[in-house]
Amino acid sequence: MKEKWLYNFDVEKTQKVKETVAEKDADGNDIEVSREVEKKIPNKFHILNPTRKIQDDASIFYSVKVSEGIKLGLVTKSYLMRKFQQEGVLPNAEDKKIHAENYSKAIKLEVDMETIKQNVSLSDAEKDLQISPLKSEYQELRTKIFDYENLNSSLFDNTAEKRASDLLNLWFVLHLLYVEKDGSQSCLFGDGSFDQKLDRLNAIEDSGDEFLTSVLEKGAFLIGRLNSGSSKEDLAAEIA
Amino acid sequence: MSDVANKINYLKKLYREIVLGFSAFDYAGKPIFIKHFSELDNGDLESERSNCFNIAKERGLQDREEKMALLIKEGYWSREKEDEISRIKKEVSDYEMLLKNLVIKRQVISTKDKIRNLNRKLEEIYQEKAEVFGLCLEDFVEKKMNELTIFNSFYKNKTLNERLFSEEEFDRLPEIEISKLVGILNNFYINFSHPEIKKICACHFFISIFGLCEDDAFNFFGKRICDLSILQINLFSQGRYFKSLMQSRNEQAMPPSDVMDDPDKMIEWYDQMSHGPKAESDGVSYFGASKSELQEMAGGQAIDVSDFAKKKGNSMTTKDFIEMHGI
Repeated sequence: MKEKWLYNFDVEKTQKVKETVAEKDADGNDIEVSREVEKKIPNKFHILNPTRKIQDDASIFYSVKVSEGIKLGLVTKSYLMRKFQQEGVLPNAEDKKIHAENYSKAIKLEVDMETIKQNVSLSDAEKDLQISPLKSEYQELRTKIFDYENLNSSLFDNTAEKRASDLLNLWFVLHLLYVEKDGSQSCLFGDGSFDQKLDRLNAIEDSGDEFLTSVLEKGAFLIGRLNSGSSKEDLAAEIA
Repeated sequence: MSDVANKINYLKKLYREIVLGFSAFDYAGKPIFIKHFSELDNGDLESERSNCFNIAKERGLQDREEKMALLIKEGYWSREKEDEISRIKKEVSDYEMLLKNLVIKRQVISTKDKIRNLNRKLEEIYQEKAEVFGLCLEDFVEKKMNELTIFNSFYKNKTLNERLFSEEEFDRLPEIEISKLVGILNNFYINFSHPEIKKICACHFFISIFGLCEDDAFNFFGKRICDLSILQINLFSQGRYFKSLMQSRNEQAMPPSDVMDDPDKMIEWYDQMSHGPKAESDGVSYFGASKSELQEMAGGQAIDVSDFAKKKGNSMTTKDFIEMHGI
């Protein structure tokens, strides 16, 4: 069975907490003194691993939004795809091949760098020396990969599908972001329809609450990355 | 053990499962049990279909007709494409009909080619349609029905009173596990396909048992008709049909013992009985057929017109032609 949570993370909140410290009074007796102090307390948040029911709801939502986009006058991705194919705008076979090669090379470099990092016979300085050229090559490849993907996805920016996909990301944030309080977890935006949850999101944004705003930012980033196929390990490394 | 004996043993195993109303399979190293659905179970599924339909409709998911109207209005699809689909489907159906009546190899090959090309074209249009239409109400309902069939099919025990997964467990089951269960279910449906049911009914052991039930399903299964599984109903109906074919023959026309012992040969025999013997005067000819094709069609009994003419002193009257055709 799938794990219940896709990802867990903490966001620190400055809270007033009672702190009791052992002190001595004027006569030298041991006493306990309690006072309120401001402390950064980690608050737990979770990203729900979507069940089949949630995935079904998401696919209905997406499809409804695509139709809505078409009614609004947006073009469809399949229409643009055919148009671009006819006009030769889409990358040709050679471009695709180069992109695939860059991708494979980047993965291989990742593995190589990890192998060097894990090599216990090397000192840290030796590891840095070996990793450094690989790292710059890796970053160069990442830039090429990003540019290629960005260019292609930007071709379909104004489609009904892109609009629906953006709304779907928001839908996932509103349905998958959970907060833990006293050991039990509940959706940060409560129960109800998409619109009701959206109202709660807007209320948080309008409130200017720094803590909740940072929870939203972090949660939305993580959900976006998890939806695009990043692993838990990748995210942990990125956040660190 | 001979092939025929193996075959019969396998069919006995299937027969046993049909009578018991479940089949056992291995899943993750443990036995699991597939319930053989009855019409009542199917009825339950159908009532869920309308629930799914209403839920998705309420959320605004369009059905195919609605989506088509929108896509045609906005210029992403056309009535012409729909007409093209209908036209190709009709052509395929016509060619398939024609194929059943063709005997000449060249014509068979050319017709099959035409069907293949038309199906390829149809597949391309369907692919394009699927991309343009995306998820529609009917697709969603079908997907949910498939999931529900999987959920309702698998049990932990032979008494079929404990489902393999709770609703919550099933909802959290990864796709890879669902695929494994689909694979098991597909094997199950292959095992119990109609040709296999026919084979069971053509087995000697089945014919003997069936002969004792006096055509009464309750005598045979000990259950009311409405409680029978669909496989039990299919088995019973097929058994009765074969029995009636057998009864329609007189003693001399009974199959020989080597046929009786092999279910595949028995099926052939039943098929011949159901199509009826060919009349002796059934003389035909096929324009464009080669000599060997004609010999094959006539089971080696084809008559060469020039040989026949020679016998008649190279001069044939209308009467001779009628005689040659066996009329």
